[in-house]
Amino acid sequence: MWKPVVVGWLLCMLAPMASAHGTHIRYLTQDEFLVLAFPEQTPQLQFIMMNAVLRDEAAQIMERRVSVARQRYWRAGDRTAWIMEEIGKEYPITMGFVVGPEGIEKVRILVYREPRGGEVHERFFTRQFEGAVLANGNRLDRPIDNITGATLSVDAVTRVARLVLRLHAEAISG
Amino acid sequence: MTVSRRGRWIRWHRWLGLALLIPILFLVTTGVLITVSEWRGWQHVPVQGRLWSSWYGVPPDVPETGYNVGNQWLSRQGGLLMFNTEALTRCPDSLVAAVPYEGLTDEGLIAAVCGERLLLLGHDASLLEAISGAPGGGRRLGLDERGQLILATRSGHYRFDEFSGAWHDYQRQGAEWVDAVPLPDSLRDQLAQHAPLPGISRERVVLDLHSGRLFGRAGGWVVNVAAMLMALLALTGVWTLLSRIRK
Repeated sequence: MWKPVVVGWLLCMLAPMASAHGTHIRYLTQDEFLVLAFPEQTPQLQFIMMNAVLRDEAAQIMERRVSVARQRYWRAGDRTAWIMEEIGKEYPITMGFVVGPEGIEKVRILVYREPRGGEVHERFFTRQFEGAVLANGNRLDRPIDNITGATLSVDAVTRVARLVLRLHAEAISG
Repeated sequence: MTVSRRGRWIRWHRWLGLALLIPILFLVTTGVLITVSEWRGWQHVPVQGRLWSSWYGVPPDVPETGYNVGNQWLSRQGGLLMFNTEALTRCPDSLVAAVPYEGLTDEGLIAAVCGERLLLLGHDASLLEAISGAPGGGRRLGLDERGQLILATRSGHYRFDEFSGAWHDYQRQGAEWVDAVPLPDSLRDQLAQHAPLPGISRERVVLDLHSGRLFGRAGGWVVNVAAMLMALLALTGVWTLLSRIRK
């Protein structure tokens, strides 16, 4: 009678210890993501130069200093694809975005390295971004539901979604 | 009888409150600092200084070797990529190497691989681009005869294709690898002045303060005892309230 209780208690104690180490889950390679983004066309690699104004805006969106001088993206027609990295809590999350005239078309997590919060790669979460555009103040036009235990990862993906939409607008207008 | 028992509880409650005044203020302050730490990103802010170094028994992170690229020295210190003495960008994993690189631009660049990130730098310490997706477990970085970036890992060699931004298998031999060399003494002395403690962030200090671990095992026990007394304080409070209601 007491054995299942002890085993259950031990498992409860050991589970957090086992999951406390950093994981490294690669869901998609860059090439796989680009095929997913542009199944019928070959996109062109392009660069957007991060001038001082754009860098300031990016810093406001990302809530940190943005120091890169250029950002690469892939473009076919009026659709663009972006592969970006942002830290959730400790480790960077590599994510891919496809943006078209109607806003965000696809969001995929390419590599997830945090020990917790990997649910952000699930479709129920990434689906929320589809069709999202920027509203006033470089904010998304819709709220993104949080995931319990993955708040920082959710915030990271949301921030990058806002930045990608801003960069897409700049890329298309330029 | 009931009144005297209640009086005893009230007396206990008061003395406990008085005794716990400083521990409660301490734990509240450090608890708030933990929340502030998350907002301010203190988990990424390293701790420096001799005092902390001797307190934790951790020697400061002073790089011994680096990569000399066009009279510039690149090294890794405290999870950051150092361009001479300037911290350029985060480099949490190992710095595989740094090499001169032509890339798509006419002006010469510096390519550095930090973990799974390729960093393209200007000679003026500007970060041109950070490209994720480099093969993991990089051991050496070099250039082939055509000036292409070649990365050697445990699983094989990879060539960086700047047009696609991807790394592809590279079967040919003959890449010229770059090795780390000792940093000049003057540069090492400069880096030592503000050397961070590896693995000790400002958040870690706040957490260690809050848990009492900063003061060793005894500190942890003091915080544990204080926490138990706080539970007792709450219980005596509830008990006196219930006694008053019953009365």
